[in-house]
Amino acid sequence: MPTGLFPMLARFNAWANGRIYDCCAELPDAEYRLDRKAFFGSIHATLNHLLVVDKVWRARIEDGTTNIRGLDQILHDDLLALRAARVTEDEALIRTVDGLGSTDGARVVKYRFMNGTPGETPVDIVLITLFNHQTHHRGQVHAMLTQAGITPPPLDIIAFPGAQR
Amino acid sequence: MNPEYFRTFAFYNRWANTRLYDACASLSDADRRQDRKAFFGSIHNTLNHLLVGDRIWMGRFTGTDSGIRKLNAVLFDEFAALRRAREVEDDRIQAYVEGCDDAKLAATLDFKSVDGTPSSMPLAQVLGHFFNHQTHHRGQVHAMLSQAGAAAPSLDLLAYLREKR
Repeated sequence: MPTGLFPMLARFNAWANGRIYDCCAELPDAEYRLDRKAFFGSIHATLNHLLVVDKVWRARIEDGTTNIRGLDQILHDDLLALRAARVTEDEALIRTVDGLGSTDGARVVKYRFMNGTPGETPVDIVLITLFNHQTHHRGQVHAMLTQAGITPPPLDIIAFPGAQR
Repeated sequence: MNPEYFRTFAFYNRWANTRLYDACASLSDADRRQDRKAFFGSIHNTLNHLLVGDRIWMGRFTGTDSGIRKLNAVLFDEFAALRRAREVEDDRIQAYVEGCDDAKLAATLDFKSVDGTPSSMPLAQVLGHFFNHQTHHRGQVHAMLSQAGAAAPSLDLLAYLREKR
């Protein structure tokens, strides 16, 4: 398993989140919070879920702790505060990925799922899962944004300037 | 860059598509075709777009023109035919990725976008985009499935890896 794509993916993630949050900032608050019946309901709840899961995984990789109790937890009820936390998390994720040595990807992370079941996953697999999970839920948010009348710019990796290196 | 990364994604792609198409099959044809205002409108059109994108890229990877000129082309108007073509394409993707070694992944791919703009990127970056693009649009379909009242399946990569073991 590589660490090759992960530095790019961490930066792509920050870039894609910036584009999505820019669109959310254009929405009236009621539209942003409207239950559109996606898996986590609204754009607001889906963005909170993404932050929840990223924090949980990063804490597991770094042997840290979080105050998170549930996958549907609302960490920040306000878009501005949520965005500030998102930016902080994306910067932390970039530092985490950049700090991995060539053998760290194979290191097995031991943790407990939310329901208490023990899990063991190599760092590389955690990162693959994490970045894929972000794209999955950003796809849901993208669908809800177009439904709310706002079309985000492309979130393609080939449209991300940092992928051209 | 380890080829194992992309093999994992090629298997995951097939697994996720199977689950997604199973869920779509539980909907009525009218529900699949309903314009739900995602970027490509309906579930049916979004699934067609994913096949379009994959065929265009596979054509570039293998040096054979896919013949497709529009990203919103509807390749198959009938769901069963679309599903069969999807399965064939997923086999083709898996076989292609099986043949990608480190040297091939590091080599530069020259290609032209649908509007004719020439571009060059390492194959690994392009494959990273290719699999990310699938997850993005599956996320949109997932949101539309929930909105249509269908049971939207978990498409989590870690769930796939745990099931596979």
